[in-house]
Amino acid sequence: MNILSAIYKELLVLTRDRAGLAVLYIMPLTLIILMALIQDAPFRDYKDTHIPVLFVDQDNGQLSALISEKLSETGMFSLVRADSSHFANDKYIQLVADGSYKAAIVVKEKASSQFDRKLRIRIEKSFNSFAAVKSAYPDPLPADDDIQIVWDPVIKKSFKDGLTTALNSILIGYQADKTLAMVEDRLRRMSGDDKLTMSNTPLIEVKQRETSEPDHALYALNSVQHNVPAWAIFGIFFMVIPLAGNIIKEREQKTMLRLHLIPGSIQVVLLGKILTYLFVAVTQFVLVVLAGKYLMPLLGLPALYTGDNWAAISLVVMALGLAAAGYGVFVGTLFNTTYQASTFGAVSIVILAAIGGIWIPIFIMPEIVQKLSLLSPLSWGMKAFNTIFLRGSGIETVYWEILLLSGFAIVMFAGSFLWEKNKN
Amino acid sequence: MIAAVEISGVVKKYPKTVMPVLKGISLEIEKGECLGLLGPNGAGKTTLISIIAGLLKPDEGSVHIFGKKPESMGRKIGLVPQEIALYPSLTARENLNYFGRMYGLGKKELASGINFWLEELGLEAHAGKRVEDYSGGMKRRLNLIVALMHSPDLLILDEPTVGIDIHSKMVILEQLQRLNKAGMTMLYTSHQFDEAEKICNRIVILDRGQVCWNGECSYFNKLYGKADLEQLFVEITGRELRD
Repeated sequence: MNILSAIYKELLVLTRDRAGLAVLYIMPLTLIILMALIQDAPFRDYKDTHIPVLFVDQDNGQLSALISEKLSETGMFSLVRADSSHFANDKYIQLVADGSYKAAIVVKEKASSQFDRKLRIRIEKSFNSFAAVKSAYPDPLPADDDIQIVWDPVIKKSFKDGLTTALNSILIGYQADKTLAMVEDRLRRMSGDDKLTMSNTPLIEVKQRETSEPDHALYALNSVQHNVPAWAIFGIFFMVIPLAGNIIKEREQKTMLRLHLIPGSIQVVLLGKILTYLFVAVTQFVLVVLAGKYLMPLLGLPALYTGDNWAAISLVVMALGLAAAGYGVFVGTLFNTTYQASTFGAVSIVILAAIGGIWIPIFIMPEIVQKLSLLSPLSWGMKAFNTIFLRGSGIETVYWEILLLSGFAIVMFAGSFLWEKNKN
Repeated sequence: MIAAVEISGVVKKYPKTVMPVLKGISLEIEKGECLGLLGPNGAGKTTLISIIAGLLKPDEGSVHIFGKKPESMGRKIGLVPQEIALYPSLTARENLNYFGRMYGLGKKELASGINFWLEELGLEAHAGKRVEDYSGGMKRRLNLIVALMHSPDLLILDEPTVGIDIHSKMVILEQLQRLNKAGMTMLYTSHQFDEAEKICNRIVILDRGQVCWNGECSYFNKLYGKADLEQLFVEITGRELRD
């Protein structure tokens, strides 16, 4: 009964503190919306963002048509065909230089015919050794620079690599197809068999597969998928400030002094606080997940995918809530004034969040920060949620993170107890 | 007969102080007695009260409350701290309910106790009001009720009437006199000598961690021939400021 009274009192105090409620509920909600919107573009790769590329076709031949068709098919680039006015005075270069386009692909005049001519010479030269009368062919055949890419210097390397790889792949395919067709033609002429064909179907191919269920593989890491769990964790840990403030205020108001007189009541009071803030953590999480699932699509963002491992999700949320409550109790015990506690609490959480992969995913951080992130309880929570949401895993995969968070909570509670005991 | 409070050779030193705050205090409070503990700032009154209440441990010496260690007597002790030890955002009834529950009072006992004390101290009409909206006098009265909810055998009061209006002070002092007559043992600290004279049977003056005077109020006047305790206090403790 006492514990229920303690929880009831905490809930009353909490619900009557509007600023505290705003910190606990409105702040994480605002953060997930803002951060998901802000980080939407950086999170999309060039495949999703369709960066515009100017296609300067001075060739108007088979090769330029194939390049245009194949690049468009990839869906990675948004090709904008340059009109003839862009050709004069290299105007397309200015268009890239002033940032109108991130790149321009230039297929020079007669590129197709030049290529055909050179390939024919190469093949004829190869077959020349079988001929009774030998012909003279130029040797070697130089590669042309009939295809050029003009880059905007601020373009991301990944985009550069993507476009170059795609273009090279088209050219290699084009050269292979053309070579085969010419060889086939030459062999027909040599053998007099009009039906002679050479198959060009692939004899080896790359098979792609995901390590998780097909459903989960559909939800790659995007802005919503990163920011909703990230800022939910941040919001849960931000409870440190109201919780530590609550403990210090009780000490300053001397209500804690009264309770110290009653044997066993301090434990009940602390348990009441921990359970109340655990409830806050769970309701915070439910709120941001609902926003992720139903509000984000209304803002033009993808919906949050959580999977259906609710047991694992619940355990991670509880462990996060306990860890945050433990840290809050520790900060509240360690400091004497609410100013000290809120300053230290806020700064320490921001640092733990930064190294814990809340702002940007850990895998894109420098190696030294990646190592540091192992120390942040926020990164343990983040790793657990990514594992459950994106890889479709359950408790058997995230038990280590749950144990780490629970262990952190125990260390914080024990530290608070020892500090308080030593202080008295 | 066992004394309500038995203090024997208590020494207490804080880590940051050079001299002990309490230098071998020995004192007894009889059952049903109201002892006034007076002294200038820094005399060691609050430290002594904290040790009696079991909130601090003495470095030397011992304290017994009704023959037992103070730590185990929490439920027998009522403490009225100098500060308003209440939750400002809760109503008077919510505060009393919470502290009553923490003292382990049952639902019925608690409800009747709350109504009784709110009426006795003139707060029944304001029971549903938040404490933050109370006047200073109302807060002081509620502060006292919280300490009385569980019917303690020993009531420790640390300047319970500081900074309040005359009417609230009168109500509080009348209640304390009534409770003392009913047999409740009290330890009362104050800077208001008229209050101490009014409700205490005996006065102890503490200065620089030592007992400077211990005797009945009436005996003071007889012995020193002074007009009031305030003059006597200055004579005993000196004119030096204790900042």
